[in-house]
Amino acid sequence: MLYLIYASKEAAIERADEEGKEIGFDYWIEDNGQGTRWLTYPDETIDHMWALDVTDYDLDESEESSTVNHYTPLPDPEDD
Amino acid sequence: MHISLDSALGRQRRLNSVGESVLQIAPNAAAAYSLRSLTGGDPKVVRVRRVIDNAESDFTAAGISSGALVNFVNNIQTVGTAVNGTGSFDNYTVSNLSNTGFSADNSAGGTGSAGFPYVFKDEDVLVIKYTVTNFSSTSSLSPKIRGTSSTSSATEVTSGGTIFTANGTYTDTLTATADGTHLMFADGNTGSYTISDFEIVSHSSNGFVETWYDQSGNSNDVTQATAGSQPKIVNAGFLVKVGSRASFKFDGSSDFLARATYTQGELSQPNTFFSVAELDAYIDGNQKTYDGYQTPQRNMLQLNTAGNGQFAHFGGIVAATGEDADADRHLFTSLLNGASSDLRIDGTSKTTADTSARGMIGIVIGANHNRLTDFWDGDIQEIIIYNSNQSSTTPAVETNINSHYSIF
Repeated sequence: MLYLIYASKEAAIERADEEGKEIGFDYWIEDNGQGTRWLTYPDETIDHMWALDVTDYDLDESEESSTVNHYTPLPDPEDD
Repeated sequence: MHISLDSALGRQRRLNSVGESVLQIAPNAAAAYSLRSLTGGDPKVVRVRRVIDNAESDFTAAGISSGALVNFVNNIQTVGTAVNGTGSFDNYTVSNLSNTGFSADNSAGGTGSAGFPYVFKDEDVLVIKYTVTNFSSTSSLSPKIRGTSSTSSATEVTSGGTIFTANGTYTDTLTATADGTHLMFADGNTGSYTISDFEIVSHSSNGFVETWYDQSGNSNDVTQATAGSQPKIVNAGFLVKVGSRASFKFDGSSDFLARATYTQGELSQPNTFFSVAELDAYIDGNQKTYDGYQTPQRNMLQLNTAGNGQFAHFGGIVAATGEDADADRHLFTSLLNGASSDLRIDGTSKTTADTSARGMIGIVIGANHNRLTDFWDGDIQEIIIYNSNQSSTTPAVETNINSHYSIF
């Protein structure tokens, strides 16, 4: 798996939106606020950054050089 | 004097009428998710994304049983006008290019390819029919159809396909091993041939769930807008089923459906949940059939790590069955009502331990409340939620559900 790490959830979603538009998911075509929007969605990391799985994304050179293959997710405060 | 168990428990036995739906037996559900009609009508039950082109459509319960949903997912795409190979694979001289055929001459030698633009996705199964005429081999001409990801490559992203060395009509089955864009005939030997009457006989694909519609009338639909986290409803061209009934397959690694808040706000206890679910494999692990959307407002049904792995429900405290779970399909009836809670499996009470008194604001189906862990690896067919104690209707609802799914 390949991940890009973002400082904010908004920045990560912006990149996810870009990929979703490129793929042509229904959300971006129908423009009715319904339907599939993203290929992947960011998860919060233990250090409160945001990791986006970009394994199947069409990355530019800058992004390719910035990917990491692991992150530590934010732990669940209630482990049931 | 004989006292029945029902009367001893203060329950009134209720006889179901023929054709009566769950929501007629027990009205006023807070949310009701199924692929069958729970209302007696033909409600919208699911929104499906097909992977071929990411198009989406809503389906009613009748649209599932009629095959309309599967037909939507297995939609044959448009075949483009035939093209010659490019780059290292442009040695054919091609003519008479159309969307059903072409003529190819490789008299000059070298590797050539020609074929049709056609989009397919990993795991798709294509049945293709075509006719070969004017076959003339100068030296071992033996073309074979394959899926490719471009015209400049003959590398196969499909398995299957037969080499032809004579005129005839051929039917090939190709199974995609990756996404592709073309169906190309390729060969490195010399000769010539004509392809005609090229057609896609069938295109079996996968379909995924974007929305599971709430049939209760409260608009508590659960959704998944992220393609990579959508449970599967059509697999390799066939409706996902358990015990002959339509189902959702959750992959155990990222799939879930969710709703952040119920339209009614918090569902405070007592709450009653009827669920039909099955694990793919029994393990000693933590997997959620459903959970709340946020902590601490969590009501949950899960495979819990108690003992060797036990089914359990939770309203602030885990109450496990005390017996090993399994990978069979079950009807779970969870009454979360503090010290008067009850977890029934297939109509039998398994634990009446205190689950504490938390309510529930939203729901995650198939994963932990944080949507990061404890993914359900298996099937979920139905979840019906009441913001009330449904002890009086529980036997009748269980009978209705079991009549449909034949669980126990």
